[in-house]
Amino acid sequence: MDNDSVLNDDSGSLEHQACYIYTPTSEALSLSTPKKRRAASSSRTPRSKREKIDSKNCEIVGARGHGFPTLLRDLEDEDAVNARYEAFQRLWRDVERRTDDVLAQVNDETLQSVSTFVSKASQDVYGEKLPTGLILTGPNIAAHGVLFQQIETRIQSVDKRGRVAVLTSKDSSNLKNVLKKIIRCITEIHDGFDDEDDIVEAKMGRNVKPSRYNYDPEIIHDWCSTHLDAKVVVAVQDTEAFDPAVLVELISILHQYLPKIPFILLLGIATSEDIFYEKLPHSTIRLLRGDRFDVQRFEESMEQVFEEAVLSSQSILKLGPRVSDVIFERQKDHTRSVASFVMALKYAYMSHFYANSLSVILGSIDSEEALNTILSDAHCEAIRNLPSFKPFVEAKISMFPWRARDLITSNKALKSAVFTASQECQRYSANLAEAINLFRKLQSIVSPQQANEIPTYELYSRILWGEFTTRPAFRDAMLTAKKISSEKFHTLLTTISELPSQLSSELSAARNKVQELQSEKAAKGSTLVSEFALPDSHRTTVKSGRVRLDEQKSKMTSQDTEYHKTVTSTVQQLEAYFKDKFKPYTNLFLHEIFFYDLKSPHSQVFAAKPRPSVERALSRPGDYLGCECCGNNDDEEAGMSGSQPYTAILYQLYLESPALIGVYDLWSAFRVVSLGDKADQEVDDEDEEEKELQAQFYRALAELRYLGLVKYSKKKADHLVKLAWKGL
Amino acid sequence: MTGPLESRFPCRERQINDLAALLCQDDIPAPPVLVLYGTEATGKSTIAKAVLDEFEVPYAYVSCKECVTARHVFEKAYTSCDALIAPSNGEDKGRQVRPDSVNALAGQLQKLIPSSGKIVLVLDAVDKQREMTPTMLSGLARIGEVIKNLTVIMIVTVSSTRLLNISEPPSIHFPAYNKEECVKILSLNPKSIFEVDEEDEYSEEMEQEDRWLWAQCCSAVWDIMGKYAARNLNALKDVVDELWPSLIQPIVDNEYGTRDFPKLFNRLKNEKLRNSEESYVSMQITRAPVNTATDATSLGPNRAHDLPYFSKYLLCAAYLASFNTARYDTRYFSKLAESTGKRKRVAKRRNTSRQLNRKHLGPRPFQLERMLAIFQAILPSSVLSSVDIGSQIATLSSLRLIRKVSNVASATDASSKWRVNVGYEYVKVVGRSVKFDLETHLEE
Ligand SMILES: Nc1ncnc2c1ncn2[C@@H]1O[C@H](COP(=O)(O)OP(=O)(O)O)[C@@H](O)[C@H]1O
Ligand SMILES: [Mg+2]
Repeated sequence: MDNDSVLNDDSGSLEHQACYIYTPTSEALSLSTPKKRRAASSSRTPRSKREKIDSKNCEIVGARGHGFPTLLRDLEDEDAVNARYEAFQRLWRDVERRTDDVLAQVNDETLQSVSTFVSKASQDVYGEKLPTGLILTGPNIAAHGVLFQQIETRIQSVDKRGRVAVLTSKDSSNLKNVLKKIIRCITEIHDGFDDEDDIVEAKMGRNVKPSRYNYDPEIIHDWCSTHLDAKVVVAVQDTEAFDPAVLVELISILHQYLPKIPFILLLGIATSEDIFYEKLPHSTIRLLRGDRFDVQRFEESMEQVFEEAVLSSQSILKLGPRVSDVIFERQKDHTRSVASFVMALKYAYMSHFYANSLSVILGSIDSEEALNTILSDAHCEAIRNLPSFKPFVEAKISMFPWRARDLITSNKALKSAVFTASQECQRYSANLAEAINLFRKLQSIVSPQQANEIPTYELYSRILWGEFTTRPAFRDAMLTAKKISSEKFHTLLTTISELPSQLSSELSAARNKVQELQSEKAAKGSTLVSEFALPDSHRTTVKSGRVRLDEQKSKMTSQDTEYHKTVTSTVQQLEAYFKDKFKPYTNLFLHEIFFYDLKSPHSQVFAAKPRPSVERALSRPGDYLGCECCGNNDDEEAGMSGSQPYTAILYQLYLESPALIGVYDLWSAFRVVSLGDKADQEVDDEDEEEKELQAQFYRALAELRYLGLVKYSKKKADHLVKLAWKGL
Repeated sequence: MTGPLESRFPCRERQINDLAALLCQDDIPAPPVLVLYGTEATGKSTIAKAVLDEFEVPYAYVSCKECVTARHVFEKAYTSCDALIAPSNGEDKGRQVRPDSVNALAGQLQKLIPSSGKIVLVLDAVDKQREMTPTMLSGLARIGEVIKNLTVIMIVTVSSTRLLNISEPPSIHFPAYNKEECVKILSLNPKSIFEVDEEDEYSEEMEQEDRWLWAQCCSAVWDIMGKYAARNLNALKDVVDELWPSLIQPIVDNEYGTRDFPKLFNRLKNEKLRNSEESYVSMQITRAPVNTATDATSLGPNRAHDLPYFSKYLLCAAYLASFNTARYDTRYFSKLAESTGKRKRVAKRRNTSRQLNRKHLGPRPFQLERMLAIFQAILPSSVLSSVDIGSQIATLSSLRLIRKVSNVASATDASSKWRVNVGYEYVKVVGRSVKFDLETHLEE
């Protein structure tokens, strides 16, 4: 993407600028030929926003090789700008690499089982039926291409089980084309599988391939005779969109050739099996037999990617609660795709490093020296302006007043405090991740239902908002942890003591203790019970309940009392631990640097709203033009006035009209609004002003038509049909 | 002469004898064309080939179902005749010939086929070839008249003189099998109950048990399935094959004896055909695990891949737009409180005046703009339209959950016409997952 075409991406100034008028420079125009644009995008310029639009900045881009602007009112050093850019590159690359690794693993299980299916499918197993794998891919279409690519590579190149022809609905125009494509995919020389091909041909002495029609499946048969063990896999990527008639014919042909060619069919199903069965005739379904394969669900992959990309201690920049709410809400409501999450995360990195001068700190957190050199006086001033600086200093005042003064007056003292604080922020994040991990495990054992409902990424933002430990979700988990049976409690302790955490030694001690008590109790032939596990006394009448409770209490042995104590203290410890780790991040000095939490760039950049924007521009042009004449912005609907652009006037009249609009009525109304008081005067057709107004009217009408809002009615002469309603 | 064939193919004595009489007598010239007709799986292909093999008549066989185009049929017919006559030589010469019409095929074959000896060309399922036109069919039927010692056997589903445009061609009918015949044929090779080891003798007794139980099973399946789908031999065999392992499981487990067929079958019916016979016959591609029902509930809806939240509402809106009449939209979707009461009343009155439920008339096209309006109306809280909504509509349409029916240039043009493309059950479940009650908004 070349720099000039993204200039209007400037979210920083969107807030106060009514609209932005793009006038490309001659340089930008010359860049806009497709070829050159590709060249420009391959250079390493990241897609970025700019703070100011002026020619001076454009020159700097060229000089630096990246588009990062000088911040801090131009006081930022050249070095610091470069350091920010480098930090972005380094940190993002690292996150990207780790996410890619996770994503490569995500489909592994499915690929494995599909590949095994392909290798096992044979006449012995499926007889006369066409072996068919139904791959339930889920509705995220963007991921299907990748998945089928992976299937192809796995079967063809990695496991070498045969050849794969991947078909998409675009190929489904007719059977001939489909067969041609399959034949091309199967018989073309690929690396890897074809090693012996030459030898075989050489042995046969001459080229035996007879001339056939290029859609004749016999060609594949010929190919098979030189590749004896190879399977021929036909994979349909988007079965729903594939023309059903062609699919039926294809299946029938594949089935016909099954005795000669070891065909295997893979069908990608994005919706549901039932829908698939409904669309094919029974006679076709009868020809198929096979297995179904499920692709990992979005929730699971998302969880894995989130843990690696955000929670992991290797990821230094974290998402704040606001921005992660925005991101995950969009995931839930609109996209449900991991790839789009990765894009959103990358955008968070980009905008943080691009627009926040202090992000330079993230690049040199490992060495105090580096930090000292890169932070200029301007940086220090900026740090003192951070919201988190004030509470930080105030906290110092009561204990160490001289330190507080140093922080304000001496840059040196501030820099060392910055270094400590950045260590502190990292420690906080690491602890947080650890505690979240532990809490998830605990929840999955104690109340799996809830663990399913709230995925890690939602838990994360809830915790960051603070006060999670006072929420019902947390209190429930702690309460139930006390109440579960002793075996379950033992499993719980075993699982969570194995996780790395501060508590692990205490937890394993508790586990040993429980184990000991358990075996003692087991020797007597009963199980451990704590008081918490006793039935609720509230249910029965108070009196009889008491009695029963007392009865049961008296039955409790010394082991039970011991156990009860252990449960109490362990849960208390856990609670204290979580309360400590789940403190709100806003308490931290420098959290603005380590947690990216700007909401508006994400909400504005990712889901463009062309329709509401056009509607707003036309119904309240003043909002965009920002001029005096077009009505004040405060009184909303009063709107229409003659000074507005003609198209806007016409649009507003259009909004008030019924579904069928008479052109003449529209013109009269338009004339009244545009001319105001003058409209009452008698005019003849030759009047210049009148003529011009008419021209403007037709022009505005043409624009509305161009926008797809009206069309001429076919039923009634000189009438327009309303096509779009506002606000949909 | 035809004895061994008749025992391999019971219930087909007449057809086998006719075939042998027409084609395999050395002293009588074979007819130029012979039509074998009958519905699916009545043994036409198998028996024709078996008879020709038995009497060692040289024949070329072309399965027209394998052919993609009509030319492909001609090419195959030529090459297979070529291979029959000159199996060893002339590869380079022969292979280049690609007759592209019936006449060309006849001409080429005339050059190829020697004037003595008898040759048969079998065109199987020739009426199932998509590109085959009536003129081509009658042309093919006449090739045998042009070439004296060639007989063309055409295997078709229904015979009619109009199809081939020949008056009274010799033809043999293969009628569909009835229940007894089916059971008899399937009983030729029953599956066995117990796995037979190398050492164990497969005793007479065991064989008898197998035969008896298999036959029972076949006829029972015919009785309950026959009326839905398993009306032909292949379909019946599929179902029996599928059910057999579960049927004999109790015997293998020593719970029942082999002669307890009624009990065995009842048990099978309860286990496998629980839902309804019809749903079983709808035949899943994948072998359904025995305890699907329990699995499905324990894993819950969580297991399924989910659509995004707004996509679900869009789909519901599309369904409503397809099945409600536009002029009643205000009644069903107005957010005013009083509309609920009105809705009920209207529904009642309409119910009596209209005879046909709209649901049974199929989805009707709607304009995208109307769907968007309904979408906004049924959402719990309104949402600003954005690119994301547009892309979800596009996704729904590539998943063919909704479908564009008009050919307006741009897909999201407000005036383009769409239609919902899935059934009530599916949409209801989708709606329920976002707590949207489809029923109350649907015209009755
Ligand atoms: N009379 C019969 N005896 C034994 N097997 C038969 C008989 N009729 C049909 N079959 C079997 O039924 C199957 C279907 O026969 P097929 O020749 O393909 O039927 P068609 O060509 O009429 O569709 C084959 O496996 C065949 O062996
Ligand atoms: Mg046949």
